[in-house]
Formats: sequence, structure tokens, C-alpha cells
Amino acid sequence: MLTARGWWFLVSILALIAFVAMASESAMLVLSLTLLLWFFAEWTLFAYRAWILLRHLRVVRTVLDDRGAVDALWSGRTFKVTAEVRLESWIPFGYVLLTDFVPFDVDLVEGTTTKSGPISREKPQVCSWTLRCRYPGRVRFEGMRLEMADLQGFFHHIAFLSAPVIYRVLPPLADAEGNTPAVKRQNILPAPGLHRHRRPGSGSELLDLRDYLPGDPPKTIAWKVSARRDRLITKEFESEVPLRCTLFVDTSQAVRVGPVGRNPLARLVEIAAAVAQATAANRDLAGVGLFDEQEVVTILRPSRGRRHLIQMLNVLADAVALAPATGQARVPALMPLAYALALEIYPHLLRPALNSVPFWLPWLWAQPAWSDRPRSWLRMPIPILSRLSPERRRRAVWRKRLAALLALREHLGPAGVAQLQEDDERFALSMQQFLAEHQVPYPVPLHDRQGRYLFASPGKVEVLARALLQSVARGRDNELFVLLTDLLDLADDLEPLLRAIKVALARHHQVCVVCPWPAELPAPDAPLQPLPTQESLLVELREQTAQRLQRAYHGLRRQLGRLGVMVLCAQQQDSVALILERLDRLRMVGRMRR
Amino acid sequence: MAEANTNPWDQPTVRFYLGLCVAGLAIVFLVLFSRGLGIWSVFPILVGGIGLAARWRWTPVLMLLATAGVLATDATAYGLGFRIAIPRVRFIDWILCVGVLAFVLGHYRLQGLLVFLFPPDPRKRLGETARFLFFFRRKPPLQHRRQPEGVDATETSLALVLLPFWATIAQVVWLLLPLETGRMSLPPRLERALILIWSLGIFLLVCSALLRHAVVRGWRPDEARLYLQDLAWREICRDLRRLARWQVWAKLRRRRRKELP
Repeated sequence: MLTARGWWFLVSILALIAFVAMASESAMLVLSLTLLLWFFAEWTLFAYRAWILLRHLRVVRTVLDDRGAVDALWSGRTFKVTAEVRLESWIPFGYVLLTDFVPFDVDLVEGTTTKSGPISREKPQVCSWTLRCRYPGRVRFEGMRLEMADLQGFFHHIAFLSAPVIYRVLPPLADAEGNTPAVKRQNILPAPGLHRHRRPGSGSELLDLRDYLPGDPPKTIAWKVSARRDRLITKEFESEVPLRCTLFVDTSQAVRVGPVGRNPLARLVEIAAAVAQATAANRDLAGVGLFDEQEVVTILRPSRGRRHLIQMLNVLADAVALAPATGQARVPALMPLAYALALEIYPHLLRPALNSVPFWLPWLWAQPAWSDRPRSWLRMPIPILSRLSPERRRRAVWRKRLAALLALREHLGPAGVAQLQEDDERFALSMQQFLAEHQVPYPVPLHDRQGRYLFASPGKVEVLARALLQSVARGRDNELFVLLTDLLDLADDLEPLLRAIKVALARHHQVCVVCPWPAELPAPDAPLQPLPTQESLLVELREQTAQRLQRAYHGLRRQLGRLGVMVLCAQQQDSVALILERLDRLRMVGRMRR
Repeated sequence: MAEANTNPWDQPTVRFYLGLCVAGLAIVFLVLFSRGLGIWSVFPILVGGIGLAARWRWTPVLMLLATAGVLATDATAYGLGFRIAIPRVRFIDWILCVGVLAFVLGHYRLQGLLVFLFPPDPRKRLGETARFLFFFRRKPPLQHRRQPEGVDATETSLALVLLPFWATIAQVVWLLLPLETGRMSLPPRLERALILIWSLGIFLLVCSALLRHAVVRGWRPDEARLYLQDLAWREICRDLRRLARWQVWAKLRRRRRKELP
């Protein structure tokens, strides 16, 4: 708490008192006492503010657009953020420096995130700035960092006013063709009452004329046309039964690999959101189901209406925020990130008074042989000396404090602290969860120590097949099922899914598969562009990867094409339009069957 | 945290604290001169004045030491010896205390307004580090100082009121302290020193205990739970560590056996 300025002043005063106590000069003693008493008074006041009055500070955050406060944000648009720090006490707080944290994947467009000045009950401090969200998902505002000092600069304290608020960032709006409009040209919704469904039914709009079949109601006979053609002709009207489309979105670990907001999951969610909005614009029913390698996480049955559309967009926005996690992640790579985050946001829980580390811990408790620890230059040839290295001490302190913090958050108790200290896998998973919850990106290894790929997720095929069969069982006639999933690495494990697709096709439904594609590689049928690098290993690696993926894609297309299932690549710009075109075809199915 | 381009010397607050420092120096000079110190009275004023102009951080401490030195070396006025031969309360001493406190308070607040208030963060610097071969030179850290516009009249008036207040309190404490009991069989100097140290120590202990009690009473639920968790962990950490290691060993062995052909 004492700064260097304060320390030197205090030491000088105490030295002076010690000196004059031995001398016979009373003026100096009284002078020293005056300064000392003044210093102690400042210390008491500062300590009161730092430890007691601080709890009366509140952060109230509001996000606004042109029309006022909003509960959710939209990707690609700007919003104004205001954070007001209020004091709920009559005693003024003193001079502070406030810093608002800008979340990851959000651009600061205008304004400044720092504000300084005194805080009192009558005069709160307000910090406002403008942001733009780059990707759909979630945005988490943690709170504000507060630095306080007395007016002389003797004391200094850093605290964090925690006020976590999460806002959903919804995918950008799309038109009836699935395109994101740059300029609104016309109202895309059809006028009320006019509802075109081009399949025969019992509506009021004329669809087609056909020959009379015994059993047709007499009121449907078109007399004038019948007279012209000299045979009975029946009018066919449009159906009023809307079409249903169910989107199954893969949220397994395989599609989460990559930075949140720029991974394959984000692209699949964009497509799903565009299709959902386009079908809603046509007054058709749309539903969405999220699944991973273990279970169906969320299922929203096909329905229509603005509230249902917003519900679907919320579910999709939550899905984008999912981050990859694996127990094989390296603890030395994650621990600096996690500790730095904890130091910024939870400094009160890392204080030695609450989160102690015994002095003997780094020296007497050796890490086991299976533990993942960085090589130290002191380990060989004198292993005992490695226990004395300051780096080892720092790692031991960080690990113990982080383990205590994570055990507190997960309600594990003291046994959990010991478990997190000893079990690297468990500790890595907890740290990843901690970082993902605060939306901090972290590195994940793609392969384990034996070279096996960690993010294949073969279990999701069975889950998807089960979900598809359940939807077919509950479904009506002529539904479209769109499977947005990564099957490129699972060509040999598709048997359960193929069976489920065959059942769906046998019930006269349509199935369409959309596979994510790496952004840095061209589309499957496009030629590979040369890399601007001379490094032959990278060039060779890229070519091999592209060839492998293209082979897998074409193999999948062949396999599913035999069943009449369309396979699309998520990188294609018109993938949404192709899905909508398939939906339109369903309107003609009933007519063609007659 | 780069500050505005306005000249801080134009601000009334800065001029107030500057005036306070000069007034303090003037009072100290008058007091020292009235005690018959003659030309030596100028020495602390000179130290304070130069430090104020150069914005030295050490100025208050140096000025204090200079004043103490001048008073200590003036042994002819009061005589050497172990007994304090003058009355314990003098108005002139009270004025000296007010003057020195005015200078110290004013100077440190000026430092906060003109140089920096918060300790500089070495992670935030004014530019990139300049490198040449194996040599590098870091830019100075970013410094944040108070905005003079934000200072209101309450702060300056309170500062003026507190100056005589603390001088008076110090005189009262000086009167109440039993510096010469005559009961300890120790030299008077040592007796005085011990009484002072004990008095200060007890005062500090009581204040910090009261503050700590207030802090603990105001703990949040997560802080209280963490404290209890840490307390329990410290009691049984050795046994928990042993158990956890065995569990991890068993898990790894099970996994290895599953992977073996």
C-alpha cells in the first residue's frame, strides 16, 4: 500500500524521532510528532477508503444504440457503452483512476476507456465509449479497474470493481434470399393475407388446372375452361400448410477449433441464422437443434413468429461462444494466461491473507514425474538445485493460488485444491473453463503426445443420427432437414447417419448436408493458390492438407449423393441460397407426385 | 495516460499549493530567525526553495533534515545536557510546526499535480524500446498526474484548516507523554526513547487491530469461503496431497492399460 514516496517519508520521520529522542531539542520532537501524526491520519483515512468504503462502490453499465438501451447486440453494428461508478455512502471517496476493460473480439471505435477524478455520492464518475462487435457470440464486460491514491502520493491501492454483464451478439440480419443487405431496398415480408405455398391444397389461390377425376368436389370444376375444352377441368388451389425446416448445428469440439468467432462453428451458425431468417420471412416454420459428441444440447421444434426467431438467434449466438477444451492442453502454456486474468479481475482472492502459500511449498514438494513442467537449466546435472530456482518458486506459488481460486469457483473444497495441484489434466480443463468463461482466447494442442488428433469427435455421428430419427418421428410431411456438421474426418463412421437419412428420405423428406471448410484453403473445386513463402515444408503441408480435405469432401458427396442428398461446402457464398432453393423445391413435390 | 496540453501553472489550485509552500518556508524562516539562528535560518529555506523550483521528489525530506540539523547544531542557545531546560510548550514551536507542515503538504500535493500521483507502471512506456546490437534503452514509463481542474475549494480549505489542527494535536501529545518518569533506572535519553517507541507502537497496534477487525467484518461471502478453505487446506495439506497423487497415479495406470494392445 505504501509507495516509495511514502516509505522514504516515513523512514525519514522515524529516523528523525529516534535521533531527537536522544537529544535535548524539544522543537524538533514536536515537529516530528506533527508530521508523524499527520502521516498516520492520512494512512488511516486511506486504509478506511481502500478496505471498507470500497465495498460501497457500484458499477452500473448500459449499452445503447440510436433508440436507447438494448439487451442484445448485433454483429457488425456500433453501440455506445456507458459505465457509471456510484458511491453509496456519504463519505467522499477521494481521487481515483478508473479503467474499463474492452472485451476480446470487440473494436473500440470512439471514446476513451479511462476516467479519473474524485467520486462522491453527488458526483459519480461516468466512462463512455463506442464499440463494434466483429463476430456473433457473446460479449462479457467484467467491470472496472480502480486505482486509488491519497493526495500526496504516499499510498496506492489497486482494486477491481467486479460487475460482470454478458450481452449476446446476434448474427447479422439477412433478407429473404439469405443475403445480408447493405441497404434496405424494400420490405421483404409478403403482405398479410397473401401467402404463397406452391403445392396443391385447400387454399384460396389458384395453383393449376387439371383433368377432372371422379371424387373431385363439383365446386372445384372450372366451367368456362371445361366448356372451351369440351371436357371437365378441375381447379387446383394452393396449400396453406407451410413448410418445415429443421437445422441441426454441430457444436462438438471438432468445429470449435480456432479463435472464437472465426472458427468453423461461427460459419455454420451464420448459415443457420441466415436460413432461419429467410424461412421466417417466408412465413415457413423453422427449428434448430444443437448437438455435440455426447448429446443433443438444445432442440427448438419448428415454429414461426418473431419471438421464435429471436429465440433461435439467441441459441445460435450462445453456441458461437463455445470454446474448445481438452485435457491434453499444456499447463505451462495456460497458467500465465489464467494467473494474469485472475490478478486483474480477482486481486482480492489472491491476497496472501486469504490465499496463502507456505514458504516451504516450492522446495519440499517436488512435482511428480508425470507432471508437465518446463525444462529448467538447473535440472541437470544437479537436480536438487532446480528446487531453489526463483522460476520454480513462482510456478509453485501461481499454481497453488490458481488451484485455490478454481476450487472455490467450482465448490471443490480443500480436497479440490490438492487435486488441482497434482492432476495436470484436471487443472488444464479447469483453467480452460475459467478462460472460456471470461472469453479469453487460449492455445490448445491439436494432437496428443502420441500424435493422435484430439478433435475428431466421432461420437457425434451417433447423436446426430438419433436426433434426426426423433425429428422424423415427430415430423409432418415433406420437411427439410439441414445438417450443418463436419463429417470430412469421419467418412468411415457414417453408417448410423446414413441409416437415419434413408429413413428420412423414405418418409418423403429432404436432407441437405453443409460441411465447414477451412478459410485459408480454396473451395473444393477451386485451384490451390501458391503461398507467398519459399518454405517448402509449409507449402508441402498445405498441399497435402488441401488434397486430403478435397478427397474427403468428394468422397462424402459421392456417398450421400447416391441417396439424393445435397452436400454443400460452408465456404461457398451461395450456400444459403442453395438451401433455400431446396426448400422451394419441396413446394413442388406434392404436385410432381400427382 | 497522456495528460492534456494545458499549462498546469495557470490553474488556481497549483498556484494555491505553491503559495502554501512559500508561506510555509516564510514561517519557518521567521521562527528560526527569531530563535537567534541568524544566517543559518536561510539554509532550510534555500533547500526548500531550490527543490520546489526543480520539482525534486526529495525536497520535503531534505528540508526537514535541514531544519532538524540547524536546530540540533544550535546547542549554544539551550545548552548541552540530558535534561530539557525549557518549558514544554512554546507558541513559537507551534508556528514552526505549522510552517513545516504547510511546506511538506503543499509540496507533495504539487508533485501529484505536476509530476505524478500514481506510481508509474513499468509495463506502460512512452514508446518502443530502442535497440542497437546488444544494447537497449527503454523509454520512460507513462506517468499519470491529477487534473488541476478537478480540484474543488473544499480540498484547499480543508488543507488550511488541518495545518494548525495537527500542530495543536502534536503539542497536546507532547504534553501528555511522560517523557521523564524518573522511575526507570535508565539514562534519561534512553528512557525518553523507549517511552516514545512504546507509545507509537501501541498506538499503531491499536489502530491496525481496529482496522483489521473492520475489514474482516466486511468480507464478502467468497472471501470468507476462501479463507476457510485455505485454513482447512493448511491443516491437512500433506494428507490431501498424498491422496491426490495416488488418485492421479491410478488414473494414468488405468489409461495406460487400456491403450496397451
